[in-house]
Amino acid sequence: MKRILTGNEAVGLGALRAGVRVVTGYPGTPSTEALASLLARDLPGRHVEWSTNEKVAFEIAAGAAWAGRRALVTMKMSGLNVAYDAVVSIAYSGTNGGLVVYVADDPGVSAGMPEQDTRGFALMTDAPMLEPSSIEEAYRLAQVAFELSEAIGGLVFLRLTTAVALTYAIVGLEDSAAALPPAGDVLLERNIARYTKAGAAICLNQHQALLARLEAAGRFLHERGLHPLRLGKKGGLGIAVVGAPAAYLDEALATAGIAGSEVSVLHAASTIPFPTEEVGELFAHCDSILVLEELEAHFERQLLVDAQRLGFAGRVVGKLDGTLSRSGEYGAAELLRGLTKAVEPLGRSSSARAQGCLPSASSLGERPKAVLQAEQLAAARPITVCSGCPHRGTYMAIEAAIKKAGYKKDEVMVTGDIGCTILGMNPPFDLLWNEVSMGSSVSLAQGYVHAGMKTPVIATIGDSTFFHGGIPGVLNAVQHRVPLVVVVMDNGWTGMTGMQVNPGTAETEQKGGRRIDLAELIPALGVDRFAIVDPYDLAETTAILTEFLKVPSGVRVLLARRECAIQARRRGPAAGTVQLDAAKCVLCKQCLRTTGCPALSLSDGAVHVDPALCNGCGLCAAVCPTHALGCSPNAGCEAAGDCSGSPLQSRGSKPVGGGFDGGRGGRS
Amino acid sequence: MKRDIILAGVGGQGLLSIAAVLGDAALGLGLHLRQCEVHGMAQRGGVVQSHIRYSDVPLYSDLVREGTADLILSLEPMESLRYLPFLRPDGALVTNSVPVKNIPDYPDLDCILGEIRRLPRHRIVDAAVVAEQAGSPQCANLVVLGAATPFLGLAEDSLEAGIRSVFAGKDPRIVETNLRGFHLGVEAARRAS
Repeated sequence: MKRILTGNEAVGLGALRAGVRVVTGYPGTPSTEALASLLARDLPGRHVEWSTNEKVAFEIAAGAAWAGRRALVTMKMSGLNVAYDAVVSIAYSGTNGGLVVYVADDPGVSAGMPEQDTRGFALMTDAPMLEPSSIEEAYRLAQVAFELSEAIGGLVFLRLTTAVALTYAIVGLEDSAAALPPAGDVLLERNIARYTKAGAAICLNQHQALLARLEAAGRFLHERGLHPLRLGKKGGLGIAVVGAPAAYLDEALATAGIAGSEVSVLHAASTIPFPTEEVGELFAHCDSILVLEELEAHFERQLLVDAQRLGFAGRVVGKLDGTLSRSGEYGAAELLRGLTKAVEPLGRSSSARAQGCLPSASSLGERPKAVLQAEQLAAARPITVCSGCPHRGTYMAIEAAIKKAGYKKDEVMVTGDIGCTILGMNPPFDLLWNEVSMGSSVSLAQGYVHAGMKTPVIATIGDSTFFHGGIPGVLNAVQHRVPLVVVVMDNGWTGMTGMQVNPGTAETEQKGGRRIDLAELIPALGVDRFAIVDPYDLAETTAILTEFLKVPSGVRVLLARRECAIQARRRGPAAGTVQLDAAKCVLCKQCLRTTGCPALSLSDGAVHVDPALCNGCGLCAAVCPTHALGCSPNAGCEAAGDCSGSPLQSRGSKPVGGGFDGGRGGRS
Repeated sequence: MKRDIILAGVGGQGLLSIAAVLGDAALGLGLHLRQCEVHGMAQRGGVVQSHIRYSDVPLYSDLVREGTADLILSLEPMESLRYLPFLRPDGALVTNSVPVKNIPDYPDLDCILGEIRRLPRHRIVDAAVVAEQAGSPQCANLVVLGAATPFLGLAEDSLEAGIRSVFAGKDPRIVETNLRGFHLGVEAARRAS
């Protein structure tokens, strides 16, 4: 059967074909669809879930693998940082059932966060990492990864980069449904020497076993012929390529006018373990070597070590000689740059063909002037929150409350966090100062307090991020009596990655799972003050935040709660209808300036509300000084300030906007 | 036959649906296909682009190289200019003329359209007006796809099949509106050429 698949879907379907039983993960671009595509299917006999965070996800998968089942865990590169404590420990112990850690790197940073190369983790873990270069390979190597994991008795990383993870191609598939996970009893093995880290003897023995597993992985990949080597002209150029650039190589060679038979190509399936034997053959056959890999020079470094060891005296072209970059996504242009440099000694650089194929990326100035001018007309579009996004109201209220409490915006630290909530850093809000990692806003803010801030410090964080990593920071602030305002922006979904469920999502969306209500959880953390508001209600949100800012001490948490507008709109009508009374509009543009709402625009000297985009949040009406803009709630939709009937309804009976006495002192 | 195409637009305009239609048409014709999904932010008014390549010979790379695109197909005029460095000198540009002005420094529209008209092969279509004729502003993306048909190398009936397949799960009226939008787009481009 032929289907159009992304690399991510290919990983999920490959795992399914391999008989995976447990799949866990946490959403993160560019990895999300690997798990999301499985969650969308009906898969009896298998367990698929979005977990609270990557460490939890990994540990669940590892437990299942220790119990003898095949398990897959998925995450983006930043998630591996979170999971790593457990990853290295499990790597030492090894596994019984196949355990595959799928991680997606993002060279060129299409989605934010550091451009880290997770092959560094594989090096540090002494665990194999397979690096598919195409969607077809992702499907195939996902299956090989499980076999390899069980063959060596250790976990295996599977790494894609953005260009493969998010690319579509037509792939021939076997029937995945036929590959049900093997039945049979759960494996229970009592063996503290293997499953604990108690004492030096245990750990040192486990380390030896780990090193032996990596060696075994090297033999497995070699014997299976997974590092295909195509030898070309003796004494010519050898190319060692790993990961996504392999997909571009044939086209780059054709563009450069280099016949495939002229060069030798090693297409490695992994950097760790290193294909030492194949590289040795390349050394024996070629005079110079071009190494093609995205991000860090991990392959090239090991190749240079082997060159020294094996006495290869030829030239090595790659990143370390300055030809190619350690940053950015490689397209055909980068490969051409490498090829052009590598064939120089062969006297090809003067040929017209080689001249013609010089990468255009490096020759920006050589573009036709007209093209350059026209391209420069295209202005940047800073991303903002969607029309109707509840976060808009929260940003506006924070800014207004800072002023009402008597402070200037530029003297109040507002820390930001990962997810949609970070969009408050952009115009027109320009509110957030920083973004670090999941949950960091709460702890980072405490550092500013201890540094001696004289003004209040505010931390902002979304619901999924709060569950993932924000709770320990709040506990710390409570324990150490840190004066802090925390605004939890609860829209009920993990939104930025495309609407995944989290522990706070409505129970009707949980596929049998239970909902954990932040309105009950947060007071239980021991915070000093707690209130729930509807961020569409600008006046009340501002008033409560202002009170919070005026209190000099204690941990004060505001739960700004309203379901993500996109999700709410998928089920029902817009929250309200906004009307403009043109006679009253004095064109002060206050609505445009304060909300930055995509549904508002100025055309032909009048404010225009786009009815197709407007979600009727009424925030523009709330700031209109002449009441030219008005908003009436829509029938069939919860009135502003009332979450009853909405999936965000709290199980408790605390009124929205009402205070909660955290057990110490009343709400102000 | 081989086509290297850059799809351009703003989040929420339905760029991915067009990519899906082209992909499905290619699948139906037994062509080789590579399509790189959005590198950017969907749904939030940000810049959205997609590289799509299809051919009757095998393809390897997912990204279209600068200076080699056969076509830029854009749902927004300013966005079409952003990718000009990708277009080959005799490549075609097909764009919606209706701007998405969600930024304060949106350049002069006449200036943008002027730059597009300097290209040897271009089609500018007011997709909002045409989509309204088709019955829904939501089908503007398919109007632009229709207008690009002369440059796609795919027969109209293959694209129609793609539209039917991609929107198969939707209300049949949506499928019909989308098909009407597509055909009106084809006609609009014919008149404009």
